[in-house]
Amino acid sequence: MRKKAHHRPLDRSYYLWSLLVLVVLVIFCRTTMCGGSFVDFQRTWVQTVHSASSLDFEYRRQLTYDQTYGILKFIAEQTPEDAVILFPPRQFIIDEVGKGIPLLASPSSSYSFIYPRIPVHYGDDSPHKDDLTHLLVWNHWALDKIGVEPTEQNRVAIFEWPQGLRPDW
Amino acid sequence: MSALPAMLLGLLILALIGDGGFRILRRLRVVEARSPEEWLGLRVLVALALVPAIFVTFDLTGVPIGRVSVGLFAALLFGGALAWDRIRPGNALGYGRDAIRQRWAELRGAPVAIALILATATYSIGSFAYVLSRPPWVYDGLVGWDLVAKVLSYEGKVRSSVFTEIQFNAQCVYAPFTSLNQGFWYLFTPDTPRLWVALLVTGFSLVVWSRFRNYTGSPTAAGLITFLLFTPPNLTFHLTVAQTDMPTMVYTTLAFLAAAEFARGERGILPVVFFSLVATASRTEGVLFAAAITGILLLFRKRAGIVSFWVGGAAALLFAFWNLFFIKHLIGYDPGTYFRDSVEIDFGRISEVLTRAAQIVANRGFYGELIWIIVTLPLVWAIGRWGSRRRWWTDSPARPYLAPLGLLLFLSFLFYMPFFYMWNDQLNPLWTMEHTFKRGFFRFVPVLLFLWVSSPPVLGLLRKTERSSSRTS
Repeated sequence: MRKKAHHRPLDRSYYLWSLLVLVVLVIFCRTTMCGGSFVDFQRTWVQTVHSASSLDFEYRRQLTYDQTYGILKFIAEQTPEDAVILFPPRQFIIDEVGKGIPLLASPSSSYSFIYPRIPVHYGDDSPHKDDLTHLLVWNHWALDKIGVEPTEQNRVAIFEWPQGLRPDW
Repeated sequence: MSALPAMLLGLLILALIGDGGFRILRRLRVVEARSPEEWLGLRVLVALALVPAIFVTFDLTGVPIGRVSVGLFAALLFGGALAWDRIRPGNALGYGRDAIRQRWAELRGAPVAIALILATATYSIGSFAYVLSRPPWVYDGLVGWDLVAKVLSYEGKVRSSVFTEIQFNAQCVYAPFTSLNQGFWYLFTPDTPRLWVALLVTGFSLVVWSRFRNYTGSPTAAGLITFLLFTPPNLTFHLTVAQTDMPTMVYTTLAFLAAAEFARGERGILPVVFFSLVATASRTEGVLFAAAITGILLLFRKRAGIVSFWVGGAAALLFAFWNLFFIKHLIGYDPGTYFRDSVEIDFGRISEVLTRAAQIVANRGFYGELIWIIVTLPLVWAIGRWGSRRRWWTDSPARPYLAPLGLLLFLSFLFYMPFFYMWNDQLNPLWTMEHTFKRGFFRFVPVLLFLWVSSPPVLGLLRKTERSSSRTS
């Protein structure tokens, strides 16, 4: 003989418990580092989407990268693709910028933005140190090597590498 | 090709790799989707895992890496997998056909779970928003894997001019997962090459939610773990950048979970081998975690655990392939210079490494309140047993996973420390451990949270927020 189905009254207490746990979660988000991290993330990605819709990608790059990004763009525009360019010493660039390691100060990050042109930092044991074709003058560095007087116009400039000149390191 | 069609083409090719790869790996009992969420999530994670393998194979065999070659390979992989399924059909799903209906029914009676799932979804949406609207910008990436990825897309090879024309940074020779997944997207959407980060976060969230749901029997507990997972500030930050550490966390966690299942005799060893390998392909010190997994599996399974040597062995082979063959022999760079030549026991240094590790984990700026989860973990399980005897709550269905996962975390931590101990004092001083370990500890976070949330008192509370008739096993 089959037993009658036994209907239990539906338990609604889970609503109250749910409310309690949701309140705890809201308190967690408002009072803890972890919860605050979640809230900040929401705020910043929404802001990012808003700002991105009004800016083109090149402008976003300029906002994202340090001041030397513009120099790398300048090099890419001013030199042929097979150029091998002498950069100032890494430490000189780091000191001049004064914050972190700028894009210009690393052969890797420089190569990323001037590819296929090859960066050679002064003093580095670079594979192409003997094949220089151009010289980057930045903040007047190296003007004395080519005998040019510093002016406001040549603070940042590209010169062809003087024929016959050997790197002196 | 403009950005949107190119992105859709990239997604299509990745989908073919993911689906084809998943079907083949499922046949070989390497991966298994146990729910609709895993059906999708594992395909994403398999696709991302296979991209580096495909690219390195292309590089070694001289096949140029480009849209056409990768697309053709993806089509072949998908076609072959589909043909195999047609010739020898099996249960293609791996879960019941009414699983989606059951899931909806379950979630209808779990309002907190729905809120937590929606909150977790915003991580994924936010990650997509970031990677689609900002250029790659972290220093390690710009001087390392991002450069390798970008030049790969120009030259069609992994061993590109980066390694011959300039004095490159050490980050260029890191394990290939990050650089080659980024390279994949440089082929299609050069302005937004970090799309894989958002895909990784999405795939992982789907898979771990499902796994934790199965272990705890509670969608709310699974939702809470997945939500909390990305809340430590350092982890939240990594939703927006392409580094090597998020993928390492994803695949190491899956290896830990697969190892716990093997330790309990529920599944085979191949999933553990696979996920450990991918974790090692993301950061090669993953071999230390694979060794720890091997040790724990031998402890739990005794003679049946002999097969677990495949976990450590396969990871060691990959470690040797990448660091000794690919980087040292083919590229000519010796990553060993960053490490000490000999092992000398120095208790002062051991103490310094452990102290620094503890300080980093306890740093609120990096991990928020996670330290309290770690400190109270033994307590919640001890109270759990005591309270369940008094019938304040029932015992946790996750208890059987406590011992294997707890020991896996403990031994992995111990095995991980020599990686820092062996650093070269000049090239890799210990104070820089902060940069590496604050991200390396990601690997421990998901399982720690799972163990805490699945403890009887926490799980007991969360279950009260679920309609009892909606609970399924």
